[in-house]
Amino acid sequence: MGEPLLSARDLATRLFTDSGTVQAVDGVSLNVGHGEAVALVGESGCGKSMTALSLMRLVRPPGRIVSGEVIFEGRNLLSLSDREMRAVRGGRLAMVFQDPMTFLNPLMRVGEQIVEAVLLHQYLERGKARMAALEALERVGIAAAGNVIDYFPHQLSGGMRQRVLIAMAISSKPALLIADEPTTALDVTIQAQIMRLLAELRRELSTSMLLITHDLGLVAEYCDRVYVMYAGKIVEEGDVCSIFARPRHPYTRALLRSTLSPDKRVEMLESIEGQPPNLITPPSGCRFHPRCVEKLSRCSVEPPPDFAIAPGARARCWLYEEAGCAAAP
Amino acid sequence: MAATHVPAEPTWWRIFSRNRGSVVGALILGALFALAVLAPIFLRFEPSRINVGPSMSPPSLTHPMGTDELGRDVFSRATAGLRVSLTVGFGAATVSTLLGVLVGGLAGFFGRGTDAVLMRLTEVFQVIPRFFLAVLLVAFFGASILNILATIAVLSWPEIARLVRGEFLSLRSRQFVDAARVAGASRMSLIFVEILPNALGPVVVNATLMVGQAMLLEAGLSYLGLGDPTKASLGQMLQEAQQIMRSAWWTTAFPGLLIFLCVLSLNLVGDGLTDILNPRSRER
Amino acid sequence: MPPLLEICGLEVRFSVGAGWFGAPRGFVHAVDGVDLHVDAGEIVAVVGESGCGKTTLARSVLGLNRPTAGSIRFRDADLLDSTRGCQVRPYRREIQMIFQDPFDSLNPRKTVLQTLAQPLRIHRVVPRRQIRNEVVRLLDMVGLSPGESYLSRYPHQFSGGQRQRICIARAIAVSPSLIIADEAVSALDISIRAQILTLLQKLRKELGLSYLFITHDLGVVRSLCERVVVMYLGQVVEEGPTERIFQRPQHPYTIALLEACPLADPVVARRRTPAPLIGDIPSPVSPPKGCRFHTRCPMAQGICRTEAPPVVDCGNGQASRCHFADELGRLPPFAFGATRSMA
Repeated sequence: MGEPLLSARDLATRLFTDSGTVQAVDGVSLNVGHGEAVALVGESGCGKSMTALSLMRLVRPPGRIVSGEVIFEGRNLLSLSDREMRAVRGGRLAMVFQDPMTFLNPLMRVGEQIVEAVLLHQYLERGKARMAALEALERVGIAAAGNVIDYFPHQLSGGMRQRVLIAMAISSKPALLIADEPTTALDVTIQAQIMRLLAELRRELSTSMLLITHDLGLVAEYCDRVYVMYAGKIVEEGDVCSIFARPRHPYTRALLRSTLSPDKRVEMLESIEGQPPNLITPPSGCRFHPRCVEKLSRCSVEPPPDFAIAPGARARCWLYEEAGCAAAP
Repeated sequence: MAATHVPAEPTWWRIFSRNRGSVVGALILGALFALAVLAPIFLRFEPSRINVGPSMSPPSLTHPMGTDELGRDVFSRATAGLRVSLTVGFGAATVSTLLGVLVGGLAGFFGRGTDAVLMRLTEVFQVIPRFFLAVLLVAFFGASILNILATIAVLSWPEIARLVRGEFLSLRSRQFVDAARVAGASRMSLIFVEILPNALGPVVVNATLMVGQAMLLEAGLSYLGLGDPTKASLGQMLQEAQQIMRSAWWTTAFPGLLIFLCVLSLNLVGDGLTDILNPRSRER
Repeated sequence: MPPLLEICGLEVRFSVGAGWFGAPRGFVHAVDGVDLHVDAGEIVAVVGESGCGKTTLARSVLGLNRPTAGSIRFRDADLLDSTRGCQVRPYRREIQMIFQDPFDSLNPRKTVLQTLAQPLRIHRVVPRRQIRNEVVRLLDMVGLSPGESYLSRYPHQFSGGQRQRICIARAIAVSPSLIIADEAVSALDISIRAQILTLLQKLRKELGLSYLFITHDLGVVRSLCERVVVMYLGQVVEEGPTERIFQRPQHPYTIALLEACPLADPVVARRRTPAPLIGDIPSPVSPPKGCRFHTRCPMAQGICRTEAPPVVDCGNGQASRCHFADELGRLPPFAFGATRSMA
């Protein structure tokens, strides 16, 4: 197995707003191995997007990364200089975001933008860079790439724009691709195309992927391991099949119970009572306890540590202390 | 279902006071208003009475802003002029805003034919050179304060109309407007109750800036001799003091300073208003 | 019993582009010959992707746009009868809508009380002095208790789920018979989604409502809706009872949707080896000739490129607009994750 490609340890990011300090990411530790597809799953406000931004050091005020380390290919990204980080970002560490329109310059032709991305990370002359851009477009399945390369973003459909973003991302053959809700804004058949494209490209280039999403279906189909996030903390970790078959954390269990999957009809819809917590003044003890149906008296007092349950499976819940699991730091 | 903790809604003052410039602007504007309104109560000299003191005398205790060549107390004249300028400024801004909102709102909401006609009308007014039109109207209708006010209003409404039209065009396809329609709201209700309150943000800000513009325009007109001779405005004072500017600096400096403070404070307040009227800033 | 809502041959056309003097350069047939009905007490799903016309269809029923052809009958009265002036008005009480974006469908400058009082006032549901009490009652009914505490708040002070509850309260305020929900839960988190759907089910039972549920989420369709209508590029391509559609789909597009939709079961999901549809959804401005789906259909034949397919009655209330509907009907039942060849 060796060293993971990316290893985040105790990452914490806070937002310093007028109403108070939001503990958006509170001690998150996660790993992505070589060639793996890892999912970071959670609902809105849980901190998953902020985690992605923190990993790439794209956090803007009023947010700030306050502690932790992010080891990528042996180096701590949080201690790099701006210049060194810029060399990594878009190069070995690439990203694809949700809304292509905000990511693409509307006044620049699509091909030019890919060329720009290529030239930032490789020493090529312009002509060669343009060839590379053309190749990238073809590789992401855009027919007539020779024409599309000169289009402006508004001339393309949503799916095509997302392919362009992916082309930009893979143009430098990254080791890790961070995809933050890459298909949420797309139609379901286009979504399937894009996800399959990502899977193919990953196989071809041996790229790892960190997929940030709220869609459990995508996780089930395309990812190897899962981190479940709630209120700024990782509450469960495990491989995909175990998480779906034997979810351990009450939040994961409740989330799966309230998911409606097209493969079966559910008579009684189940949901999770209450609302996600306010992260300025989070609940005492375990952050999920006000909504938890399996809570113990301890849960409202002490926040549970991360318990190791089996190799590769952890849950942040007091229910697993008695099972004699060693608490992980 | 338990009521969730809702963060305290920041009050108007809280949002406004985030911007220090706006607070300063508001204070200055408040002081100017107080001056214009309250001064006549304890003014010792009548603004237009001549020879209340030695002519062309520099600022002193009896005459805080000195006297002009006719022996009139500059301070009294300046406060009277301030009142005139503020009246014209706010009056013209109000009238032009009302006109602009009406035209722009109807154009933006109904679109197509109505929009085309109203926009051509707007363009006509925008294209006419301002001073030329002002001179024409004043020459035609006389130079009273009311006419000046009306002239400035006529010159200024197209800008607001365009702004309002833009807001309406973007707001009318919002889902809450459709929701109101589905609930059964009439068209008038949609325009005035649903859309207009949401469109007012930039309009109010623009209107505050327009007050400053109107005052400057009025000062310019007075300077050209088109002002109302019976009620001296600040611009008028500047015009009259042209000749003696070098020897009696106080006759131009103080009126000029007052105009400057008015326009500056209005601009600063306008900045603060942007924040209050923008619903997003409440989320911070 | 005539159906509650009956749509026949509906066509809605929009002009596109501006040529000389503002004359339109082309037309989009957003809705192109749609037949659809909703019986009293039913929940009917309308499923489709961008450009299929489902939102335009909903807006036509609500009188938010003018169809160019066809009829919409509600309780056997023609909503589009042009001889009767502003004819949708009387039916505003009967047909209501829940919009997609809970953040956009509430006026940011109106309090909850003002927003909910509006339909009550316009339709004189209760006397003026009882409006406040009625609003509180509605809020309690949708789970926002105690209603009193929410009256003077503004939309931005609520979460997405709460806003959607307010929108639901607004919709039921006038005691409608039919509610059109346009992607009403798509913008909500998974855990909140289930809360809202449960609320909708509860209200159906308590108030005798029918729903026209527009969505792209097949999971919601399977558990909530009795019938499904599948739309593509302005036409209905298949419709039928939910279980039949999921077990015996008889249109390639329906099958493609089933193959593509996310499935929260890793074992089954990974067994899928479908051919995802090639290409993008064609623009509704110039839909393909013949069968509109033929450009992306894995089993398109010569006839599909030239002739528009007829509507084939597949029995048991199911119908499909495909030349090969019968062949598809003879295939074994659909199972997620099973390999199927559609050639």
